[in-house]
Order: sequence, then C-alpha cells, then structure tokens
Amino acid sequence: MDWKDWATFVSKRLAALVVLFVVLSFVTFALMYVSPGTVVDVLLAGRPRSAATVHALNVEYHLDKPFMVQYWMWVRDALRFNFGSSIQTTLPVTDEIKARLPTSLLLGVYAYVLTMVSGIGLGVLAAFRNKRAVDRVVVAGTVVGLSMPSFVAGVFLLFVFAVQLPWFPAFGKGDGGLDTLWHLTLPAVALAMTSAAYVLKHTRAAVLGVLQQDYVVFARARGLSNGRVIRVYVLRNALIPILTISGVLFSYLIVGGVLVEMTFSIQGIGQLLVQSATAKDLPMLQGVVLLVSAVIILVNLLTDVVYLIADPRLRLKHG
Amino acid sequence: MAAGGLDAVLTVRDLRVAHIDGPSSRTLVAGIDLTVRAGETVGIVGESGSGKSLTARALTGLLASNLSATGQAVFEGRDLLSLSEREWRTVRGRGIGLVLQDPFTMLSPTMRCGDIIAESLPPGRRSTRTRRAEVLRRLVEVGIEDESVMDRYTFQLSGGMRQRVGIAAALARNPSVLIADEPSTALDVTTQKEILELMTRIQADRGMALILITHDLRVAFAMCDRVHVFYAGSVVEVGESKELDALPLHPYTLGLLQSEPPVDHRVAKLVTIPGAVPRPDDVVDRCSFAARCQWSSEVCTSAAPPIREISAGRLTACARIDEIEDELREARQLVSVPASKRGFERAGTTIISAQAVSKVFGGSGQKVVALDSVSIDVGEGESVGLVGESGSGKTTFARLTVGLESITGGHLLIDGIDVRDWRALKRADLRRLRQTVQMVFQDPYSSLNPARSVGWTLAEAVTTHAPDTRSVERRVGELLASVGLSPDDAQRRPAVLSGGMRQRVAIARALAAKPRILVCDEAVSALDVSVQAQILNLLTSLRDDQGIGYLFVTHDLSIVRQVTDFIYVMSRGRVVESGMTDDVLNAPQDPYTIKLMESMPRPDGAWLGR
Repeated sequence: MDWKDWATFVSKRLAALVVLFVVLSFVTFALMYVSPGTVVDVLLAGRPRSAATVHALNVEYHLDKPFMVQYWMWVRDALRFNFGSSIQTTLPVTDEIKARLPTSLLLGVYAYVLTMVSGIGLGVLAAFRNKRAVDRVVVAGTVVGLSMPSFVAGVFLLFVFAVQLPWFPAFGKGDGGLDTLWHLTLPAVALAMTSAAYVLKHTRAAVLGVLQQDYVVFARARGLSNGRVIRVYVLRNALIPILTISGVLFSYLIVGGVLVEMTFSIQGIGQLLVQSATAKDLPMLQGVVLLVSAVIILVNLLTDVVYLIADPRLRLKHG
Repeated sequence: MAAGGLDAVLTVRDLRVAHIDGPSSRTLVAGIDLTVRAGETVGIVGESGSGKSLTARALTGLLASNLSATGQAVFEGRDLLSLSEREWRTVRGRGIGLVLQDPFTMLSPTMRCGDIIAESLPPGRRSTRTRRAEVLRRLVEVGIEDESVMDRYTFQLSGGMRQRVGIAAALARNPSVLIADEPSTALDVTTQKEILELMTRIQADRGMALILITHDLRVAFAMCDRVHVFYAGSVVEVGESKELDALPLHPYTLGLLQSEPPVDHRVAKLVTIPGAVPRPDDVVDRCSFAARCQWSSEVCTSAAPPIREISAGRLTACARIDEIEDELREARQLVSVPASKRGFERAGTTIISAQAVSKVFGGSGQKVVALDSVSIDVGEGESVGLVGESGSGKTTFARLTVGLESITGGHLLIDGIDVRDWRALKRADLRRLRQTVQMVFQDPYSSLNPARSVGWTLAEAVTTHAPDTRSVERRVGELLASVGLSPDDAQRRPAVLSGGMRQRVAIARALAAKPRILVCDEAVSALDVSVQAQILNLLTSLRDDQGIGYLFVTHDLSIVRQVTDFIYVMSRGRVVESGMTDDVLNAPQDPYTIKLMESMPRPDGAWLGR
C-alpha cells in the first residue's frame, strides 16, 4: 500500500463514519421525543407551569416547528459545538463538557495503559510458564478480575489503599499534573482490572498459539537468540489479535468510567452522564452521548489503521 | 556419491526419545544409530509415527518440553544431548541446520524475506549495503535472481519460492549438517523436483552433510547415498539406495515398496501391509513388525531382534533374513511386472457431462478464471482421472459436480439434469443428484465431525438420503462392513481412529447415498503409502462389486495409472490433454503432461541429475 491507497482507505472509512454519525445524531436527538412526557414537561422539570412559560419554551426550543426542522437547527448548532444550555445548571453544555473531559480522558488513557501493560505482560509470562505455578496463579487472578465489577474493585481498593493504608486519596481529581495522576491511580486500577484480565486471557492464548507455530521452531533452529525469537516472532505475531480487542477496550474504558467516577467522586464525563440522566437534562445528555460516540468511532478507526500497519497480510492481500 | 573414508560429522548412538508425563514415560523412538559424513546424503524413510521427525527435532535440541532425548549424538567432539539451551544456540544454524516441511507455515507472515535471511546470517556488524549484497548472494544460491523478493512478504510468494527462501535462511550460518524434514512434501510435483534438484546441487557445492527425512522411498533413493528405514520408532534396515531398491532385506521395506504404485506401469493388485503401526512400548520384547509380517515365526516374537550387519554397510533387524532372503527377492521382482492391459471402451451412459464449462470467481472487481471452457465426461461404472497441480482448477471442477459451486458458463448435465445453478434446482432433482454423485474429501481429519461418533455420522447420512430406511443401525453396519471396518467401530469417535480408518468412514458416508459416481478429491494423498494402497484397493473392489464409477481428482500420476481408465490432464483451468490412461501416460503429447511425467519421483539418482 502506498500513500494513495492509504488515503483512499482512510477517506472511505471517514465517509462511512460521517453516515454513521448522522444516524447517531438523529437517534440522539430523537431521545427528546421518545423519553416519557412531552418535551415541555421535561424542560419545566417540576417548575410551575403556565401558558406563558409553555409558550416561551416552545419558542425558545423551536418546539412549534416540524420535527425535521428542529433536528436541522439542532445539528446546525451542534456542528458549532453548541448543544444549548443545561436544564439543571443553565450553563452552556459545551462549557460543562469542556471542564470535565480532560479528567475522563486522562482516566481512560491511564486505565488503558495499565490494562495493556499488565494484561500483555502477565499474559506473556503466563504463556511462557504454561501449566506451572506462575501460570496457574495468574490464570486464577484473571477469573477474579473478570468477575469483579469495577465499582466493587473500587470500593475494595478504597478500603485498603485509602482507608487502611492511607497511600492514595479517596476522592477528587487533584490539582493537575502529578497530583492528578496520584488522585486517579486507584480509580484507574479499579477500572483496568476487568479489562486487564480480558487482555491477559487473550494474550496468553495468542502467545501459546504462536509458540506452537512452525515459524517459531524454524527461528530457533537457525540459532537466533531467545530475545529475538520472543520479540520478533512471538510478540510480533501474537499482538495482532490483541490490537483488535484493544480498540474495543478503549471505548469500554471511556464509557465504563461512569461507575468508577461515581465511586471515587471524580468530576468526569461519566458522572455528568449519570447526573444528567437522573435529572432528565436532555441537552446535556445529547451533548455527552454524541461526544462519547464520536470518541468511540474515532478510536475504532484508529484501531483499524494500526491493525493494517501491523498485519501485512491484510495490507498487501491484493498487492 | 558417498564420500567414504572421510570422518563422520555427526554420530548418533542409541538415541531414545520418550514422552514424560509425571512419573510415567512412553517411548517414542529407541535405539537409533546414525552416522553422517561430510558431503554425504543420508535418508530417513518412514511412515507417520515412525519417529523420523522426532529424531530431527532431537538432533537440533527442539523437542517439546515434555519430551526427553537420551543416548549420544556426537558433533564436533561434543555430545549434543547433554547441551544446555545456551550451548545449543551455538550449534543450531551454525553447526546443524533444519528445514521444515511446510513452507507456508515455516516463515513468519509479518517479516520480509530479506530480513528473514539477514537475521539468520552469522552474527557480526554489517553495513546496510553489505548486508543487502550478502542476502542477495544467498538468494542467488537458492535460484532466486529477482532482487525484489527481498522486500516481499512470504505470503506474496509461491510455495516453491517460500521453500527456497526457507532453505537460504537455514543455510545462512553455513551449517556443516543440514537436516531437511520432508522439504518437498507440501509442494506440487514439478516444484518438488526443482527443490530436490536445488538441494542436491547445494549439498554437492558446499560439501555439506545432508539428512533427508521423507515418507517417499523414490525420493529417498534418488537423493541419498544411504537410507535408514524407520518403523515404530526404531531402525529396521540400513543400506545403500541402489541395493535397498533392488533387494530389500526387511519385510517392512518390501511392504513399502510393494504398496507404492509405480508410475511406469499398472500392477494387477497393490500389495498392502495389513494392520497398523504398534506403539514402541508394546513391542519391546519382540520384532516390531512381527504382527504384520507374513514370515513371522517364534524367533520374531520371543525377543526383539537386534539390528545387525549383513554385509558392509548393509544392516537389517530381520531375525529370519537368511531364511527368507530368496522369497523377498522373488516378491520384489513381482512388483515390477506390469499387469495385463485392461480392455476398456467408453460405451456406458454418460452421467456427468460437462461441455465447455467455465467458472469465474469474483464479481466486478478482480476476476479469477478457475475453469476455462472445460469439457469432461464421466460415464456409468467408469473410473476417470482428473490430473493437475494446485491452481489447475481440478478441485473447482469436482466441487461443481456436487453443488459446492455453480458454473458461470457452458453446460453441465448430471444424470440428464441441467445444473446451471444449484440453488435454483427443484427438491426432487436435488435429491436425485445427491444419489448420483457423492464426494470424498482429501483430509479425513477435518471432514468428519470430531464431536460425533462414527455411527452417528453414518446414521445421519443414511437418514438424510434414505429417510424410509427401516433399520438404520443395520444399514450403518453394512456400510462399515463394505469399507472393511467392524460394526463395533460405530461407537468410536474420529479422534481415536487412524487416518486410513477415518478415510474409510468418509467413504462409507458417501456410499450411504448409494451414489453412481464417487468424486475422490485427493482422497488418498494425506495418507501413508501402505494405507493409501489399502484405500486404493478398497475403491477398486467397490467398483467391481457395486459398479460405482469414479472421478479421481489427484496430482499423483502413479495413482491415476493404477486406478483409472481414462484421464484428463488439467493446467491453469484448461484440459490440455485427455485419453485412455495408458496411452496418455505412455506417450504424453502435451508439453505440460510431459513435464508432469518427468517430475514424478523415480528411485534413481539420474532423475535429479546426480
């Protein structure tokens, strides 16, 4: 594949993403209508109701216009990152998201790095110590990791490392820099546990599979060093299937942050999502949902590109 | 030829490989003696399970961790079997190289060919330019002049090219011994010959010692100075190729030679070896071949006969060789007697009639023409061969006849039904077609459902094709009997059956529909030669008893010679030659058929220009 093929590939995928995004935005917008009660009820949210306020709201939110016109107006604003104002706080949705996004992204990336490093590292270790004590302990650990929901892990971590041993803070997102990392460590660990167990299981299976391959035997038969065989043959080939799941995992970590953010009282997107859902804050919900889906879609595109780079068989199939 | 007088490079004494499972251990290979001198080619011949590949792994320190090797293997003054993993790394590649069977799995799919060879070169700093030049030199040695191969991935190359790259990588550190484990088995016949010629040339140029492991006696005789015949984990006979071929001194070697259908002529009936290979531990106190040997007597079962030297360089493990030598000689000569010519005329009703059939894969984008105007007829009770190499379109044609693909052009009539599109056929027609043509696939290991018993698989076939069968169980018993299995086998699962037994089950399953034509797609090529002969005999007798016709799809001309009356030779989607089998093979007209005939292995060094 030369740069032209890459450009075609990426632009094709981007075009598909635009279509997907239009559908998504439509569904998100329609949320307002499928939720119980009229939009005005939601907007009033228990405040006193009068003909004048209802009329004012109808005009302000263009509720007197046909559905498609309303959608179009909403999309037009959304394209300029204007999702209106929160019903709860009356602040612009965008400002609220902007304030919280960095923390959530940092938590997601932190958990992602922990997942990959520990999952792959322990997975490889378990595979090389197949059926020995180390392997059995690690595999037993994955069962615990997979079966423990992140908020349970969170509460447990809080109890041990924040209450019993006061090494880490129990809540909040810190004051930036290292302090933020310090604050986010326990949440990230809680969040990463399940996904790390998942990556570990896959890595172990993939490495065991690759170790059986003729090309590993042939590499050893040529007298290559152990390190080279592991790096260039075992890891290089075993990590291709891991890459595919890693993209999905990143999405999971961003969305899955909800429970952990609640457990550790972190002012993040997840917490915002929960709060606005409880309060039926539709403009806020729409903004957050659209943002999260955008992140997920882009991460998936990125994964596919990386996958193509990693596996020449896909890249050059017709070459 | 043999570089006698030179010192041995590798001396193996009493090699034993065992499978260790906690406190218990199971012998897989025992009592192997082997000497290889510089510039010499030594063959190890045996069927699957004979321990030949384990021997290769043991001599390169690459046994799985649950296997252990004991005994002695002296190389450059060191006993290999006592080396640590670190010490092994100085021997592998540099002292002893290894080439594996399957070029499709031997090279990492994520590396470029040039890098594979470059990393295998002797350690040392090189500039990018010298490294590239050196890699290119190595590629030229294995007959690749095209520099762009260096930058290609292995999956972009043909099987033969991959095997060349593999050989270049194995030779990169200039080993003094190269072990080649079935280096040409996975390749087409014409490619096989090229690879064997290449290895012969390189071995001679480098004066390197070569250990060739193969299941094919003809290949071994053509390549090797001396041949060791392995059976059930031990050596039963050793001798120079010419002598072994002329007069085997062990009944097992004779059995192998008899089972192999010759390419030059048809024999009346292939002699097969009855029974199956025993486990080494079950025969420690007797001759391992005694249970399958027609000459077996008390001497053979009272103690394990040691291998002993009969004449210079000629060893056998047969205890009765002095008594039975004349009988072996007589039996050996019998194989070379051609059978009388079969009278055959294409007079029967045509069942499969293909006229100018074409098959194009792929839609609007890239098109692949698999069949290009192919006309083939198969008549009632006929045995027709369809010969070609991979990519010739022969398997595609076979799949058309059973509805796994539909044609894209021409006419295909089966039993008078026009099968332009299998999906558009009426139920009644489809049922009739299923009872007309059935297929037996190449790999009996993957064509049977591993989760179901043999009986279940057959009962399913019976009730599918003949729902009104009164006693399914009895019919299953009949089917098993017709392929030479016992009714008790119905309860067993494919995993516990040998390859030959599995293929018998697959044939029985096809017979459940009472077909008039059986399409055999390389149905014996995954089997050992002695088993292959059994299956070929079975198919011949089914034809005699039930009048079933065959379409034999195969790359192997000697099989075609043995079991077919009429053949079509295919190349690149076209039929290049057709006619009576003996006529075509005795006097091939098309250049491709001629090349195919020349590529068939012959037990003679001249075949490889040695």
